[in-house]
Amino acid sequence: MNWIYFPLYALITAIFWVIGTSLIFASKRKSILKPLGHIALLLGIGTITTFVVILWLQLGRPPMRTLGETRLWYALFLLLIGYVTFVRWGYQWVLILIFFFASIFLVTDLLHPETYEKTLMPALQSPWFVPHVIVYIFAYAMLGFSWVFSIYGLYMFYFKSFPMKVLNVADNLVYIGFAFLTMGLLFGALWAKEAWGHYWTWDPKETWAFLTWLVYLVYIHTRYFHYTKVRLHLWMLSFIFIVLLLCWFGISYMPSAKNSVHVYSNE
Amino acid sequence: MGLTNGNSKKEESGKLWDYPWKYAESFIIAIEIMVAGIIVEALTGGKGITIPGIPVNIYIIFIFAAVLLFLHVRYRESPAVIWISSIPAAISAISIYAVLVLLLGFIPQNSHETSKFLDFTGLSHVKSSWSFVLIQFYFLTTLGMVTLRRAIPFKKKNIGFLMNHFGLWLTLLAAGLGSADLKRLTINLLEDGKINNIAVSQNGEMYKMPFTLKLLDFDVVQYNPRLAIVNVETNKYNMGNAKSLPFAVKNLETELAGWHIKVQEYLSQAMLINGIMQNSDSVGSNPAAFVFAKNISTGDTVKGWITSGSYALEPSYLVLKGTDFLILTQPEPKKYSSKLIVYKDSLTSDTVLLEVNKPYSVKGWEIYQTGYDENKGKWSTLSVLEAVNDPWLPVVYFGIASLLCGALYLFWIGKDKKVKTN
Repeated sequence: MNWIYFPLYALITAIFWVIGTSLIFASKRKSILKPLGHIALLLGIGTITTFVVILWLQLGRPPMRTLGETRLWYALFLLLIGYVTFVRWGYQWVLILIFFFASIFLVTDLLHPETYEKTLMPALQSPWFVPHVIVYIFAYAMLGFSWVFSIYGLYMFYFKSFPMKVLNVADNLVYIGFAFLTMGLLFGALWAKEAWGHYWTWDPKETWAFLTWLVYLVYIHTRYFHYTKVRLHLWMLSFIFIVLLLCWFGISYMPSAKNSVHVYSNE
Repeated sequence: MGLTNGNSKKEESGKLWDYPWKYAESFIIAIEIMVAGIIVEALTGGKGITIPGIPVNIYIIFIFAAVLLFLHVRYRESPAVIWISSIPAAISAISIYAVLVLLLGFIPQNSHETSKFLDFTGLSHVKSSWSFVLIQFYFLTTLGMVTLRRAIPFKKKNIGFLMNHFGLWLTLLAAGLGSADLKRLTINLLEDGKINNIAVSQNGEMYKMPFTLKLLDFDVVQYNPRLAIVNVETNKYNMGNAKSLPFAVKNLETELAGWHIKVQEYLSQAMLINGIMQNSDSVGSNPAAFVFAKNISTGDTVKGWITSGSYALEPSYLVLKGTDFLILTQPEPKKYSSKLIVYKDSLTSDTVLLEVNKPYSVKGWEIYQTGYDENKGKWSTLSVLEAVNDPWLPVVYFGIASLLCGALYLFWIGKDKKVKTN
């Protein structure tokens, strides 16, 4: 079983990623360190990809059937999306954030080898599972960060002088997060069609995910057309995140959610 | 582009309902639409709206699109048409729509414990209520008009905008009106060698399908059952410090709630035959484990066979202490599948292995494995399938594809380009 080499691959991936991120943070403009940093990040992604490919070949099936296997994909795709976002937008902190999230999944796999074998329930054994979850994690991470910016912005607004740049960065994070939120919602719909016969059944989680999508939609539109109303938008951005959190964690406690397929199991 | 004048303030002297209409007028209109929906709902007895099926819904879509196009071409400069494609109108529509979705998310829908108030306001069935449908119609009108404004005349830089807005318009419209033509029927198949072409709707109506099915074999693969200590008085598991209950496997040694437990023997299909627990292929046989349990503090030991039980057999357990019993839980399903022959007509047929997540398409229908007789579990001879027919699916998928492309565009272009134009 190929999993015996997993700690090694995970370690090499982490080392590459730490080196790459450090180089990028340390590099000044036009410094040779920057391309080296990129190479290290790509080698990190390459290492974990190699492990997935070898595992796939040895198993003779896509490694997507057990809990441990799905975590592997989470880590891989998070690093990939984080890297692409960094390349496109130049936010260095995305690298740290994403590495942190990816590490959670890799470390969980290291600590719980028994989950390599634990089969998922039938409906979850789908090629849609991983993309659906991964784009949501990334969307939530981006929108979570936009929330942090909104709180920072509120502080600056009331106690210091407010630089518009704060809200502009937050906006961009909202755009990126919203794009992934849209994908997550739609991947979920396409998966639902395969697994449950219809793409939309107003399951409580779907309803709340749609609601989250709508409130960010309102934010994007008011922000776009009333660019100068800073205070309104800072407050709005800090409040709509609550809807997202309710959707993520609150569903289990709602009367409407007794039969939801999305209520997370305690095991 | 200037489709709305977000910055052009209404004259201070301007009264409500003087053009250009802004947020106050927009929200009043949106709320009036919602209230109108509630009134109609109450007058029609709180039964909701019935969406017409093909071909009427197709006509509605074409007439709706034609009216929007006509308004755009003929009256695009009139203040009312400018308003309906403005941001205040859009925000009022999305907000009230979101409020209804919020209610939908909070109030249990179509539940048996409903009240007259919830029925007559439509809150017990939000998604088919008049308010919801009318607000959606208002939302789609603003969305459609703004899409037309950016689409005609066409400019390349609007492509991302169009993919998102048109995609959403088409998806919501086709999914909403198309819901009338969605058929979700249940087909019950028995392992009795007989053919079946009858499906039943939720209301109990029978449909004859354009294909015939025969169930060759229904199979359930189960996880091993788990060991558990249950308090028979409270009927709750005594978990101790354990986060999850251990699966019973041969030679397992584990600690559970102050007991050291060893599984000496495990049989996945067993039965007592002549007083001896042994493997058996007989229908109704159940998982069995021979266990030793030793109380860690007192040193008391208990041993013997415990079984999960099945529809045919009573479970057996060990009494550990007082009301604490050591039991074997009911095994959970890992995978279930039906081997079927699908007769498409008198000449062609297909042998299919139907599993969860792997539907099979035949003659415009998708067939899904959905369930079985859970009471009989592994020994179920019944396989429950669902047949789904949705003629609108390609249209909805086209809308979804457009939205997905729009999302990628949004990720890549982000906000920077837009800030410049502002």
